[in-house]
Amino acid sequence: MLGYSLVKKLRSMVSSKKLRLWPIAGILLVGIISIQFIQVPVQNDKVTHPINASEEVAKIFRKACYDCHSNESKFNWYDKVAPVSWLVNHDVKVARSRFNFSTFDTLSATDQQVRLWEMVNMVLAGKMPLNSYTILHPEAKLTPHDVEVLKNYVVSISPTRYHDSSQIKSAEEEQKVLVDKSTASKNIAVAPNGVRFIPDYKNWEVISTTSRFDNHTMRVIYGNKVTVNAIQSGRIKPFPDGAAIVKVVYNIIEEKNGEVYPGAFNNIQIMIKDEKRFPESKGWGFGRFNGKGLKPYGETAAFNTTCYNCHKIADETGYVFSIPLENKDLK
Amino acid sequence: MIRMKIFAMLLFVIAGSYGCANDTSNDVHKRIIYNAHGLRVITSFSDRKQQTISLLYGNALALQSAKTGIHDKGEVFELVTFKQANNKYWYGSYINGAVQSIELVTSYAADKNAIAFKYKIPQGQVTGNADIRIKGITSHRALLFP
Repeated sequence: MLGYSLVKKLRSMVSSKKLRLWPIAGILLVGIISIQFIQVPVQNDKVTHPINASEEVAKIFRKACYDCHSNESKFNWYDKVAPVSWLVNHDVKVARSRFNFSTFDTLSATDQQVRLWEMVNMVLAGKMPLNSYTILHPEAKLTPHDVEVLKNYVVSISPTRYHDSSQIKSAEEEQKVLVDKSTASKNIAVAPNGVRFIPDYKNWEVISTTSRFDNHTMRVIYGNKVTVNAIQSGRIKPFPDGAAIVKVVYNIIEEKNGEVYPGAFNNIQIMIKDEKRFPESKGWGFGRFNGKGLKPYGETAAFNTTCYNCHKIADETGYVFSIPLENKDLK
Repeated sequence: MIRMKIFAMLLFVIAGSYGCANDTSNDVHKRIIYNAHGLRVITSFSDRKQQTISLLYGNALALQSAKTGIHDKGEVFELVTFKQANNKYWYGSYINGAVQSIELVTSYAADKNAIAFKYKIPQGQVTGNADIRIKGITSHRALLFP
């Protein structure tokens, strides 16, 4: 008798709770249906100028990158349901704005090279493909063999021209400028984001020098006192405000015997740390000044984002690629 | 008994603090910036087969002679050769690693009309005789630093 009354009581409790839950479930359902109309899912535009690469390479790009970085995105049913569709929409839009394999061949050969090296370095740094993507798409993960194929591919599209006579001639021409100082400009160049050229860098310390086989340039890299102190004391994550780095970039003359000499001056790249001025790029303001005339690079301040996107690879070192190695890495 | 326990704890703390004081784990993460003592960069070059990257520093007189090709007394050239290392944050780039050797060249007036050079190796080992090294080091042309 006691058992029967208890069961009855429980039943009535459940049914009363059900009654209370129904309106909530209804509101949720209406809400979910309503939000489906807030945003149109990402559309696949036409494939007009696909990347021109071997089938072996293209196959790797297709499996790891195409869902976001092309107009051939393949969506699962849940990718099309809000709010998941909003996240997918955002990720794909951002990815396509960085580079789109379906229109890749519209880029200049140099721009294609730059982006491809960036892709490989993103992969090597473990930043791409995104973990949030590979959790749901494990087939997109790259194997060590895939990575080797991509590394060999980028090297193959950046061939070395040994004893390049045009580079040698440019370097010789430049020697005349060194003696004749009349060509030096007195105006300080300013990048579209407000980063100014810093002529005083020559009195700073050299923090490193690099020799590159991706774009066949070399760099002498200077840091101001704030930068040098930060590196020496290990306070680089983040670098303090006031840090400034200047990279002086030269073309190179490469010889078959392995010798690499500087050719003509190419450009100067600047990084200044100011959290208030550049909050969207972890406080780093970038500037690039091309040629002996130090012509500022970039049409608008938006170029700062392009620079920062690439420097994200070096988040382990405060977004600076070329700081001196740690003692443990010195051989 | 209590005194024994306090003494044991004290020993443990002292031993621990000594261990921390001598902890070299921090050194492995240190980054060394080469101190050129106020000299300025004249040029940089590398050798992919030898796997070295070099920076040639100089005083104002050395910098001037690297622009004009005319030498004077009082020039100081310092050639620092580093081991070439992979730049772990960018495939496609080599960066200077540990210092392999330092060579020093200074100029002086041998007589009224002649400039001569002294050569030293303050650090490491270098192949090639002094005359060849002096000629190589002093014949580099200065880079353009806008």
